[in-house]
Amino acid sequence: MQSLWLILFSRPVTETERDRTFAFLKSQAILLGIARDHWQTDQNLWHDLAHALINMKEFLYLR
Amino acid sequence: MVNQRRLTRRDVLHRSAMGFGALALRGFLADHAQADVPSSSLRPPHFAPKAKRIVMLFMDGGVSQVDSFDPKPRLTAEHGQPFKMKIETTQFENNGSTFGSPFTFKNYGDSGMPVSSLFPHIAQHVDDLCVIRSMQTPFGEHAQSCYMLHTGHPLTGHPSMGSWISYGLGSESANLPSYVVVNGGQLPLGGIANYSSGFLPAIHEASLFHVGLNTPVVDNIQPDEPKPGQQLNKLRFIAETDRNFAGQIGSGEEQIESAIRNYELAFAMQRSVPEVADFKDETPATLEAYGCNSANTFEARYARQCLLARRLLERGVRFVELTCVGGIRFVSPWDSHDNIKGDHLKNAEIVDRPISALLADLKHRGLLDDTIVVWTGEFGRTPFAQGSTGRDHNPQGFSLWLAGGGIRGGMIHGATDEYGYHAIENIVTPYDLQATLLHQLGIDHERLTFRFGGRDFRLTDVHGNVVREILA
Repeated sequence: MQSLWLILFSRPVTETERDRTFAFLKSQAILLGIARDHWQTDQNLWHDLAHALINMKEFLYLR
Repeated sequence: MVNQRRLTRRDVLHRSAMGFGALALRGFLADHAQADVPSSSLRPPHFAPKAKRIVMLFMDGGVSQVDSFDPKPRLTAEHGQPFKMKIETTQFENNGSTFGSPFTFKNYGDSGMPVSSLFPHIAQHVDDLCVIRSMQTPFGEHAQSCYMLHTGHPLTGHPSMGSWISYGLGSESANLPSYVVVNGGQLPLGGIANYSSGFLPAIHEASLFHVGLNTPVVDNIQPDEPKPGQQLNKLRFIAETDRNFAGQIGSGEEQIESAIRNYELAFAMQRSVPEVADFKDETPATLEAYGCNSANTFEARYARQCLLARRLLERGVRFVELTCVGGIRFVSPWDSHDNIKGDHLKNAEIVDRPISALLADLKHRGLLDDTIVVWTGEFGRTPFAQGSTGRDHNPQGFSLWLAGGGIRGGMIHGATDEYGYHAIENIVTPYDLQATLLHQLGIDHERLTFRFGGRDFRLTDVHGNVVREILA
């Protein structure tokens, strides 16, 4: 997650963001019916995270 | 159908939630609703409006005034002779002789208004039309003139009229944009910037609906995610993070807010657009009247554009513009430089019946009373030939017509000279047209401003007068 933030936003992930992202991953994994031991490797799950991240306005717009 | 009461953002969201039942995108945004008035909730007009919505039928490329709504017998009398007036610079400088119209004119309706043989169906509605014969625009080149008509400025970067109206009045529909371009496949020259929100908040940008012959109007409207809730969960995650981001930055919140709202609207449109674009509840008689089943596939496509326009207007979209059908010409379909007779006829046969059906349908449903129909190109065409059979661009004088929305019917306003070359009486500019359209919607064009780059901007810049003579 740290490396995703560095690549996309050129800064480290904050604690709030980490918590929010974990919450998102968890709810999405449950929604997708992914077994707990596959959460770290499931492509669909991380695909959804990447899709969401590149749609963040902080990524889309220059400050 | 259309609620007159002023709505707050909370009301709009509430209504959208009721309409969609469990499908509540509202849930992830309502908690964050801000105290300031967001750009697309309803705003009160400056004064009581006569019209609520506008549909603009853009005749891209420029229709010849002397071959449509402004007959000039003198051109016929002097056909083939050297043109007797001073000739202004033209686009191609290949100016030929005086060129009488190859089309015949007939008087129609109680008003006895003359219309050429190009538009026998539209001619049935003359008593509802106000033809302005004295249009004049400063620019004789397509893109500049298209920008002028749409944005009040000849260069790219300024907000389109539909965007200004959306900004001024807000949206009446929670699930559809307030400004829609129904694209038949041919964007005018100047491109998408004709429909831009410019420096206004991006929520006011036109949404383009693409009408094919047998394709859905918005091809990419269905979500890719296979699981219900999968997309919503992502959107909720994005919105939370975005709100946080918007709160952190010192400026530009307006842009972030607009972007968030565009995501929200896109989500709502996944439901609303397939419904509005599905013609299955239209009667066979209606489909036939518009020409949806025409063997002329260009006409069938324009018919679908007109019918979709009516359905959008019914659902509270404020400004709908129809582009021309793609494939008629490589660009600017009405731009008949080579063969006015053949090329104008080909274009007229595509739009005449669908537009006539739209006028009849709007009237039948009581919508014409508060809907303005605008039929116009970006300029007119020369009364002398280009080469021997075409006509070049003519910004000095051209015709357009308006119908409905408190505009007088069966009326001719203004005049060109006896050759149909220059507007000479009651000249109307694009600024005047814009001021008049805004006026009918209850907006004072001088008070609708937006501060950008250190000054207040208007749609009409520092120009424009409401054409009061044509108001009912």
